Amino acid sequence: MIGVLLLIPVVTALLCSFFRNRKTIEVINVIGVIALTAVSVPQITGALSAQEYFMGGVLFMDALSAYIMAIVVFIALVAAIYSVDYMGQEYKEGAVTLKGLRYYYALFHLFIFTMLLVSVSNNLAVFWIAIEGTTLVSALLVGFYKNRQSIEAAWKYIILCTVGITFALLGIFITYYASAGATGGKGTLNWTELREMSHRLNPSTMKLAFILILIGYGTKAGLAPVHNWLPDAHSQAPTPISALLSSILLKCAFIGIVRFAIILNGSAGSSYAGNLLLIFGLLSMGIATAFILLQNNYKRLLAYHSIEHIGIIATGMGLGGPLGIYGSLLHILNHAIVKALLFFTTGQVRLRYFSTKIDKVRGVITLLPVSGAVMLLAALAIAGTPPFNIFLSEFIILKAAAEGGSWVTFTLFLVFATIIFGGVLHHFGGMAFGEPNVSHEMKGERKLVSILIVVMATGMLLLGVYVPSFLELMLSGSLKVITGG
Amino acid sequence: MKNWIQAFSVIDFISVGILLTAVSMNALKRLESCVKVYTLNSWLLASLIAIVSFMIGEAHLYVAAALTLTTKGVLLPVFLKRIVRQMKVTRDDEPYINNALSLTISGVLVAVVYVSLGEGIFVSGFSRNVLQISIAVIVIGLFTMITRRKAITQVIGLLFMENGLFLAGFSLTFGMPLIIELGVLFDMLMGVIILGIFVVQIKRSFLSTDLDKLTTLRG
Amino acid sequence: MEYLQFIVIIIFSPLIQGIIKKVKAAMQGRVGPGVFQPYYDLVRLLKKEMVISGVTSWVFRATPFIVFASTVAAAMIIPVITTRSPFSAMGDVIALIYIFALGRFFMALAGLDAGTAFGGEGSSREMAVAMLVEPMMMLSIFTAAIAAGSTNIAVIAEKQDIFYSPSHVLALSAFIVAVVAETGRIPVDNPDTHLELTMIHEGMLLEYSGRYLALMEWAHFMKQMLLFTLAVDIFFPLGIPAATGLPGLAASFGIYSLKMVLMAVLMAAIESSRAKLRFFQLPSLLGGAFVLALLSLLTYIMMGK
Repeated sequence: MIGVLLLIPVVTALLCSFFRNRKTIEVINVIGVIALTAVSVPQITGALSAQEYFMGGVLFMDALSAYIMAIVVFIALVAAIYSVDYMGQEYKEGAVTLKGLRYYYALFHLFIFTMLLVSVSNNLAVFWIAIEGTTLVSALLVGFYKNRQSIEAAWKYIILCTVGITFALLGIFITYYASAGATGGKGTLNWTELREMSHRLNPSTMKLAFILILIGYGTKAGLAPVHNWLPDAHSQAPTPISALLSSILLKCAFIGIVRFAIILNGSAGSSYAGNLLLIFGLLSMGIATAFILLQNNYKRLLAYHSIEHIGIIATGMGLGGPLGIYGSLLHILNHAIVKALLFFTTGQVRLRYFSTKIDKVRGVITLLPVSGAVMLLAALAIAGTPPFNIFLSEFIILKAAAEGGSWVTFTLFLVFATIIFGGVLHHFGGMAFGEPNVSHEMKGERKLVSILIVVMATGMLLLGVYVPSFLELMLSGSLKVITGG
Repeated sequence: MKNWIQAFSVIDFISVGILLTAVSMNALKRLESCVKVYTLNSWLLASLIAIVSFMIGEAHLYVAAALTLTTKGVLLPVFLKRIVRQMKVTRDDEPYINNALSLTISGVLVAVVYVSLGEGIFVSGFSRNVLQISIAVIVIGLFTMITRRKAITQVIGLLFMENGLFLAGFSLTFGMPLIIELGVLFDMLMGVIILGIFVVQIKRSFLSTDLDKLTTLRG
Repeated sequence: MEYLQFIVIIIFSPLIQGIIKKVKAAMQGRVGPGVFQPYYDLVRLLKKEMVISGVTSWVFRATPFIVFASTVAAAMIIPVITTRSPFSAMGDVIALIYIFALGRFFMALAGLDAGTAFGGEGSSREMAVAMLVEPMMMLSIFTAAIAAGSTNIAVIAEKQDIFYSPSHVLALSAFIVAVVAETGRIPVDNPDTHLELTMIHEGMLLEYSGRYLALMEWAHFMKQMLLFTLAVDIFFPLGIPAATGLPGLAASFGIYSLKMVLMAVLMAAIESSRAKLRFFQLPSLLGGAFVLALLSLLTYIMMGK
């Protein structure tokens, strides 16, 4: 079944590049993601009850993979539907040619494929190959518009991430070496095997490997101080791609760090990886805070929010303990939903105002009532306002900090969150209200998009007050994978 | 034959040759020479893998050597050469640090790597020296990427890093399982091709191959 | 007999120069002067009257003797055909480089002393090059010195059992660049021209004539041969015996001459295949050679051979 699951996006990509009719491509695109969702649901529920292995143990699904796959599939679904409208409008305005459209959808589905591969790989090297694959495919998508800014962004993105990931590969080689030392014969890169033998791996070797992995995947996950590519790439990519990058790609890379930390924890105890993650998490939050306040471009603003939230996720993981990890995992989902929502609504704003500058956009609520209102709600959510979902997970992480007695983390977290709250209110409040500074004559709200974002916003609200049982199941399963319970 | 290889320390010679080609990259201005030095580096890498596999009698490593030779030693250089011709830019004349200084710095970098890995945690592998050399090559590749101005020289620096990485992996573990090496090589090949596409696009839209023109995105 | 091995240097150094010129000419498709031409030149110069500028001081007149004497002194401490030289206790490689530096210092002073533009130019360039070459030369010799556990050239030559290792090859390549620079050959300097803009060594000799010029030229030939000897002593000591008997020395002399001819051919080949570098490109070349020497030392320390 996993073969079918992985094949669907590839086949969709091939078909999208094959047909020469806009409508056909869009239909294939939607059918592709719906089929993907349909196939993945039994797969995910199956993996929750028992681990499954495929292709001789190279691929597998445990609760954590299931959780990540669920997020990837969900965001892929909404982004693909959103793409139909967004790229359709770009096409009508002449910003994109038909050839560009085919190219876009083909790469879109390849991108999904690489991320699915990331979520199910049970081999550190296959994981690496998949992550590098995401870089290559998404770099082409970042440079999609082929103008100066997007080429520059794509160049920075691919160079920084490839260099970073080179270090990660070195870390993987070192792990292989350590495992060969532990078995006395052939080494292994199989994650489940490595986890089982983790107590026999040389701790100092594994620490070195972890640092290299942290540099490598940390670059890709957007952890400061190697986050420089992120704002450029997020702001220059087509909006649905920005949503994919921010909502799921960063998390896929982060999961690589987590998976490795699980092995390291078995070998060297949990404090080493935890402390490093804590330091880089807080650093990311701090740096993002400064840039969020000074930002004058809303897509870049959202990109810095991604850095902040990956910082929060890393902080939660770094704090450790069931509560911290639980909060961090929940935050992965919550941030994915809210950030996708924000990119989608601001995408509508961009199509209407033809600018990504914050001070060029006024009175969104008047012109686009649905998008404007949802944008404002999502902005409040991303700042951590109750009763939205991000508040819940941030609260859990804060509680973990308080219970663990990490008062420095607790204080810094609160300070950054407060400053960011002010910044978000200032930026998005300014955009939402006021007198519209473009013509009222423009076409109104898009029906498809409105339905999509309202549904997502409802989810955002519901998740703020209550965690459904299937989500709870996935979270507790993932928690078990990470803590080894 | 095996005695001969040992007596003349062929492995040492080849690994020093790999280091030397990486260092000499810092002294070169003509882009075609940079590509040539990279080619030489890859050939040395492939021959090292082949000789070691001969010494320890591991047949699957010959395949790895052949793969390295075809991708890094033939395909990539041909591709890079084509890009260099297409760019109509033959020289990288003004690195951020002049050649004599960057040569000296790369010498110092090698010294730092040697010293810091002097008593490392690694003991096995066929030669500890090869690991030190490979890390030095990675560091020098990174240094080249930082000091050079042209997009294409950055790509070559990246490729040197990857060669160093392969050597490191090889010296630590006598190579990964073959299927994994294949995957990694494929990724790298695709990566360079995509980078090549962007090099051409940079030239087209910035009318220059200098990376310091890439300053439209700030903050 | 072994007392007199430095005589070999004094007598045969012009011949080496002649051989280099002849080989170079052959490589460039010319007939070229005979191999004994440097001897004829020296004899001719010795016979000629001297013209000395009126503004010069004693330095100008003392320099040819100091340069010649210091070079002979260098020749005495270096093992040429046997390592059992009575002076070999003083045969320290650092001392040797300093003896060369002494000669160079006076040559540079003399270049300045005459007060002409070209002399000063040559002197300043010579010192600039020396500043880059000397540390590089020392560094490349250090690898061999560490291997032998001594800076005494005779000891290095005797203990040099590791004949073939990466560190050696690196050090040798750096040393050859040093020899090219020290002997004023292409690509560092052009020995065949008096073109004002490029000359280094010739610039300093421009005011000399007659006997003094003969002494300076001869000293230069000797220095060249000494550097070749140093190269073979350190890097190819094979065949240099500790013996002092006549048959042993004769055999050693044969091997030595062969090595010298090979060095001469190598120099001619380098000169024929390269173009002269602009002066401001020299740091790149010499810096590269410095890095080679540094790497050689590092490689030796790391690999232990």
